[in-house]
Amino acid sequence: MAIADLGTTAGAKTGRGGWLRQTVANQPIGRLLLLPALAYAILVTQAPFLYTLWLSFERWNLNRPNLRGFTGLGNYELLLFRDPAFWQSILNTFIIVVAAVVLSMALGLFYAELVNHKFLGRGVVRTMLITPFLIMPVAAALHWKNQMLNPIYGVVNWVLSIVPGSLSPNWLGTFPEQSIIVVLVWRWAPFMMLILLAGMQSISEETREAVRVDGATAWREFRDITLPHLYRFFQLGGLLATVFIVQEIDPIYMMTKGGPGNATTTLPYLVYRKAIEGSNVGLGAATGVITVLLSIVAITLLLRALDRMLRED
Amino acid sequence: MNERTGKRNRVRSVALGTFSLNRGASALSSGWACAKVMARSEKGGKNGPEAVVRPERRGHQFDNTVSNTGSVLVVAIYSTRRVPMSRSSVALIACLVMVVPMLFGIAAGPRVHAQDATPAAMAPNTDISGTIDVGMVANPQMVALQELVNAGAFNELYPNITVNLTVLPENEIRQTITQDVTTQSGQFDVFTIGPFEVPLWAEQDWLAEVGADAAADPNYALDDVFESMTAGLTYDDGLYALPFYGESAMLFYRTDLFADAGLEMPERPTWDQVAEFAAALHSPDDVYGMCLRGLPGWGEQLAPLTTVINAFGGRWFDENWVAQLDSEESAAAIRFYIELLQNYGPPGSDQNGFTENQTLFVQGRCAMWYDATSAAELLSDPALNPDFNEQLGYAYGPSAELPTGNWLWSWNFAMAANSDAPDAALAFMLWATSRDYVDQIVAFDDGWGRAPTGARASVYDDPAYQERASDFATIVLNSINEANPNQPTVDPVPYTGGQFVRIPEFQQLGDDVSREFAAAIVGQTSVDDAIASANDLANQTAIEGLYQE
Amino acid sequence: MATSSRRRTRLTSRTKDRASPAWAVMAWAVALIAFFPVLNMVLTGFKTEVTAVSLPPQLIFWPTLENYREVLNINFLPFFRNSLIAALTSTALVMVLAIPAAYGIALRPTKQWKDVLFFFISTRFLPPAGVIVPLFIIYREAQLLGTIHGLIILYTAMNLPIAIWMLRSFFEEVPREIIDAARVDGTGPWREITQILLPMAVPGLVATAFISIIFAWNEFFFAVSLAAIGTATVPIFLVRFVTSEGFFWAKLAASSTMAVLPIVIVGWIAQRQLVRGLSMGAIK
Repeated sequence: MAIADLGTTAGAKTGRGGWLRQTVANQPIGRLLLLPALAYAILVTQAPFLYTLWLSFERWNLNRPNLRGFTGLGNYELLLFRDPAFWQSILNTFIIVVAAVVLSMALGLFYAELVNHKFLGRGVVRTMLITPFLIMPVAAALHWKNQMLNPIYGVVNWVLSIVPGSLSPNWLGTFPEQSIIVVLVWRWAPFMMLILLAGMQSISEETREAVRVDGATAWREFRDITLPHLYRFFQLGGLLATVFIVQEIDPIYMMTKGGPGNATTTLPYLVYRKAIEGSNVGLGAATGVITVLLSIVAITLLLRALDRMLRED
Repeated sequence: MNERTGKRNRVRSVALGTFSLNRGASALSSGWACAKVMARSEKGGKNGPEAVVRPERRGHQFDNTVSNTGSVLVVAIYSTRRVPMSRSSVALIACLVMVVPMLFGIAAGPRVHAQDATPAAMAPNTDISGTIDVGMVANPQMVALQELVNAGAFNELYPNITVNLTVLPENEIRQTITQDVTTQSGQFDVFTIGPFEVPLWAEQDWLAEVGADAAADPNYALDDVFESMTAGLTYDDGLYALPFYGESAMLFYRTDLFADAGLEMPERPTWDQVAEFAAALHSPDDVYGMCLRGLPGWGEQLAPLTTVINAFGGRWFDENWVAQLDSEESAAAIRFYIELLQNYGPPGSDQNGFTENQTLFVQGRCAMWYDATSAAELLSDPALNPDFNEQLGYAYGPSAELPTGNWLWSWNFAMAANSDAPDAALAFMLWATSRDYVDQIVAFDDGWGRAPTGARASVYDDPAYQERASDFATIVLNSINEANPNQPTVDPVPYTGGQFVRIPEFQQLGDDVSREFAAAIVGQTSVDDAIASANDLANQTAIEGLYQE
Repeated sequence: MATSSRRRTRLTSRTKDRASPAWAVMAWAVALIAFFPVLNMVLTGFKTEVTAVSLPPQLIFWPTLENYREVLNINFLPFFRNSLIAALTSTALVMVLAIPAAYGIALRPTKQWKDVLFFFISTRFLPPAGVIVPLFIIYREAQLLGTIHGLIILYTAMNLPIAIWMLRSFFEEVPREIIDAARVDGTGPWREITQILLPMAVPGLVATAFISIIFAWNEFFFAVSLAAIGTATVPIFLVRFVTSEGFFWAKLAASSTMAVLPIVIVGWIAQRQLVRGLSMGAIK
């Protein structure tokens, strides 16, 4: 899709002889204005991607330069048929992304509803709730790993130890995926809150008054007025959060290194393991290409949902 | 970290404080002005943008790039000033852009040199000049080196050499160096690497031979460097790196706990004895019987584990590169290691590497810990281990079939073959790995805590070091000399390396295998399954790397 | 929804129903829990390494500046300057590229505008690790390794899709009547953008710029892979204390605090714009 687009958009009407002037004159202004950004995105993102595509057909371990050579589909064959980590990482990516997006939405909705009412210190509360989104992911992940989730020195287990008879699990070992999801949700729920809060505030006071006059409870007001109104905001937030969370490897890199076993290895992290940790450029490139293809399939499905929303514009 | 360093830092910081006072004050005042402007513009006041201009004029004295950015934003303020909504936010960016350069002024202030960097023993050498980029692992010994370089110690000797240091944690620096060297990008002139890479990279002509120059320099005394160390850095009779500090492995234990339990640690324990001690001393809410690395990674978990495999009589591969992790001896060693951690280790062992175990030991949570000898320097330092340094006992690395696991590691300085300033690079390497450097850092720190040891024999002859390290120096010295990474196992193997297998693919293989073992440690897979998958991975690597026929 | 009411909506819109005290208590409790990791990080930076790991976590203790002193010894300011230049310059570039593009998509749409928008979004799906070696080699040839320009180029590409996406939404918000009126008067695209669109969409511009700055400031992977030698940014300063030999939670916390502080402050002040800005497109 990525490559196909550039054909239709940029180079469709090239003719001979003074083609530049002619083409420019023939183009609608909207297209011309798009060109700089389009050219930039193609140059900076597609050129390395094409190179990656080429490298995915090569056998190239940085540490074994004398074995470098064309291997055709060898890397893909290795990944698809002989690497158990690959299939598990696809499953992991799906679980982690879906869980993180859905839970971020739920928690974000809760946050937004909390601060959409007036009470003492609402501004401070909103500020505190937004903060996790602003924290550098690397710093946040390190802090969660060391000081929150450490089984011996971590705050979480200390809090649990106050409750008599409770367990003090080794979070990153026993519940690795859940721990990663918690950190992702902690970071992205504020983002969803920002989006949903704007949605809530665009509900006019008159609408709310109307149901309140009917004697509706706060819950019914939330269910009948707020939630339906927020539908588009959920779509928007879901799309943006998915795009960002799929690529999020900092927490995995810093907290679990994709483990134990392959329990938290997502596709983008598998790319890192192959290409950087293993110095296997060819295999890493092939993993990267598959990641892009799968992402595009996934996002196309998502965009189809969004498409309905855009069509109404 | 170190009490002595702390004091010196304080002196430096106070000086820095005076220098920055004026600039700090002006940054503060213009920051205040910005804050007022924003407060006003928030209320929709009219003189907001005008007031912002004032600090902008000051901007001319700052770094060009930054003040240009500032002007752009000031223009942005003007162009948007008719819109009341967002003035405060735009003003905010502008204020940040303006205050920040003033803070940079602090950095540009006069450099404060440490007063007591040891005076140079030699006259300054002005013949060698150039700029070199040096990449180092952020271990305490290298951080000390960085501080000494920043304090001007190297430039007193070589005033015409500019040294740019990049100091990063092991994972990141390894990635950066590997990319740079293997693609021959030539960003680094000098870098720290281990004995794992040196022969492999030398074979590819990526490293410059430095042994001849080091041997030719009488002040350097190459024969003072342990032969066991240089042996791992040699390829085809050439020496391709110079050791900075070196280590083998040993066992640390708590003498008080052993005394209370009526146990006695032999000087050279066996692994069976260690397991018995661990069982006797383990009390989960208080002290864990045995601390070991479980953190995945060929340089983390697999370092101690491979030495246990060696000691038990196991091996990674047989002479035909057929994987042997599921052989009786190897499997027994792996099971022993994993079960030791499961039964007597701390919770979360799969996340514990060197640092985490050191922390646990310093906190008094480990009865025993088997790891690199360099930990002795840290654990015996009262500043780093205030509560338990008196109760610290040392023993040789435990034995089984073999008397030693053959752990041998060093951090070394190597030079890129394509360095464009080889003379300057060589001068730096020789200085950093010289005996003089050890004295300089000891004087700088007023202590041995971050001095590089385990590489030079003369350090162990130093009365001052003998006094400090009397409890462990002999064990370290003998362990280093006894380790034989070139014949690490009972049965013959086609590879070299004590706690690793010296093939380029081992980074990936080790990473994947240690993941399987970590999953077994936390009980997500069984030990048998983990060993079986590890063995498959090893075979697959041997086939793809064209080792196995 | 009509433009007029949108303009009116502010964060204080629901002034009439004051929540019960129980609601306030719950909100505060939730906020404190969510904020606790941040608070704990900041506090740890002022502890000694020994108190940093003691449990229960000490909230009252004798603060020490020792960690900051040690951290500042590394000279934070070059890192800070590099991050600032990378974040601000890339954001400026993003805006320069995104404003005309978003205008084109929103107000002068061609047939394939949706495909183009999707293309931009799809560029975000390249896993950085997958392109890092190709990029490294391209950068080596282009002499961009270890330079701030190299980072700026990538951060611009990284933030361009979201910026176009957000700006498009804002431009859609501008009432068509105003634009149509201007077009009838014969206003060209340039004046249409600078004199009508941009002034009306300032909150959106600010929100977009902030989002772009936040992502650029916090980016770690490209920075460590391509620029660590030469022009290291703040996240690289931070990992300095993640060492394999030594135990530095307090120093790590101190450097984390310094690394996140600028963005947190900017974000706090800009939260109004962020609330309005991220979701304008959905209000219709």
